[in-house]
Amino acid sequence: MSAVRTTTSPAAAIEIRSVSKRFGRAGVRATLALDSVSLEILPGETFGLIGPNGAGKTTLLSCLMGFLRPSAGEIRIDGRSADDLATRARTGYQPERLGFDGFLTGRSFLAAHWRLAGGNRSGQNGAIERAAADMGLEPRALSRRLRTYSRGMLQRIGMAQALLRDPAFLFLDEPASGLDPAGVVTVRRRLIEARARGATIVVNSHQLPEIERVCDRVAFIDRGRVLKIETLRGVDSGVKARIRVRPDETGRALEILTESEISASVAGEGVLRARFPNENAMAEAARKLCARGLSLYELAADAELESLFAEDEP
Amino acid sequence: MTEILRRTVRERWKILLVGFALSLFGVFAAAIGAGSDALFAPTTLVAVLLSIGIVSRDIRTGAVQMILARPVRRSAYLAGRYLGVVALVALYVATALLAGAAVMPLASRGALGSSLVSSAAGAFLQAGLAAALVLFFSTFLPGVGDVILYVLLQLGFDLTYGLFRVRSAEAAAAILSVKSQILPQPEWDRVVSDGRWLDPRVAAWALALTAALAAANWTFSRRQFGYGRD
Repeated sequence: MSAVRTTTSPAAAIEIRSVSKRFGRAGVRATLALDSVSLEILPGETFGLIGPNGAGKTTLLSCLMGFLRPSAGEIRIDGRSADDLATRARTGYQPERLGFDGFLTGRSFLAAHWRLAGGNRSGQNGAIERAAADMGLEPRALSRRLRTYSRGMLQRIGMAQALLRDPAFLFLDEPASGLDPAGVVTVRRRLIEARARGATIVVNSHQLPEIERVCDRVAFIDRGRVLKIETLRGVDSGVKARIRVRPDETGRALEILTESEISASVAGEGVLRARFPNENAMAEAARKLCARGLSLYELAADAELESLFAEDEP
Repeated sequence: MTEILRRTVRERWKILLVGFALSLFGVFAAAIGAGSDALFAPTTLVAVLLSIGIVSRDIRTGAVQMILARPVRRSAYLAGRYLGVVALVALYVATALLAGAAVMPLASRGALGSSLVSSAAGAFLQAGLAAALVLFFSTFLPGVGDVILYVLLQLGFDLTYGLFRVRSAEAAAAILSVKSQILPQPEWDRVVSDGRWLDPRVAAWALALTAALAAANWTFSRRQFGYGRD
């Protein structure tokens, strides 16, 4: 059983209950890609999956899309099974490996996906052009065959097809992979917009800063198990920070923080880690440390996900 | 399903050009009266060429995941793929018929014309079975394994029949019997021209076609599509 579970919520948009996925027949060659994973993702939440290569993130996403059947456990999306057609009609998906028909033009490709998604012909052209423009694709690019597209352009049009018809669920596997910085910003903006209109989003990515910017919560997966779930936004998230003082003042700094009911620990000589309830509390602590005569060299909010990885480093 | 059919036609229509080149001989042979079966072999060949990797290619490239991520039933995807091939075969047969009629001597258009139409209809129906078998093989074999298995199946029956024909007439008859169940080949000329649609071999053809499509659907509905274990 996975060590970490989310808070039980009857209104979960996506429920993953004790899902295991085994590849190969039982025995020496069998690989347990997912090991009793349980997650509950709330409606309108942006949920990140992070972890090292081979952790099982894409397998989990494939199970969510119904491409893989769990060996054990159950997945419910909006109360329905993972491969329910009504749910699919409200789902956008971008795979990590882009399986595009190179003989199609960008416009034909988006048109085909618009129709496959159940869109009517009357709104087709406007929707295609809007989706392409939103992803930074020029109208000229839509006339070109996909086989002539660069990796970044393919990624952009892949994201454009996923966002067609404003899906209620978005499943994205490395959406910013292969994109230039402008493309990364575009993807981030589209995800923030999707979240603002209430879409439930699951993102699998190695780009930790991006995950941190867009996700409400993240699950850290390794060897098929959910090791941690971190809340990046919301009432219980707080602000993690790194504090650097003069080395001989480390103990005093810890005392002052503890007096102020701030959760803190010594991370090294002159270095402390603390979790503040909010940014105001962080500023207040800085003021107190200085007022008590300590030499405060640095107080900075952590890049939380990087620290999450760092904590798991041997 | 319509969208998948359209995609199949767009993806594979160029193969028809190869088919047309290959079948010129057949059309002219039929037109000059070399035999009403002249369209049979090229049409089957075209159907097999059109069906190469019809499902396995989409699985390999990951296109199938992008399609099945949409509200598309797996059976509808298969139906679209199959009907796309059938539509192209129909286009091929119709074009071959027109070409045959164009080169046919005016004097013989009456008798030979009806024979050519029967031959074309039979060739089309037989090609439908070939396409269904390759579609089924493509749901579980990678690459061009589908066509290789189809050719091996054909050759296997013919070779074993040839080997046993001399040694044991019973064994040879049994081989033919099995072949007639898996690869039934009614005498379409007579079936079409004489309206013998209740012929047992037509029933065997219909059964084999249905079985191939049902088996394709059964296999494909159980397939899983992963990208690895990341």
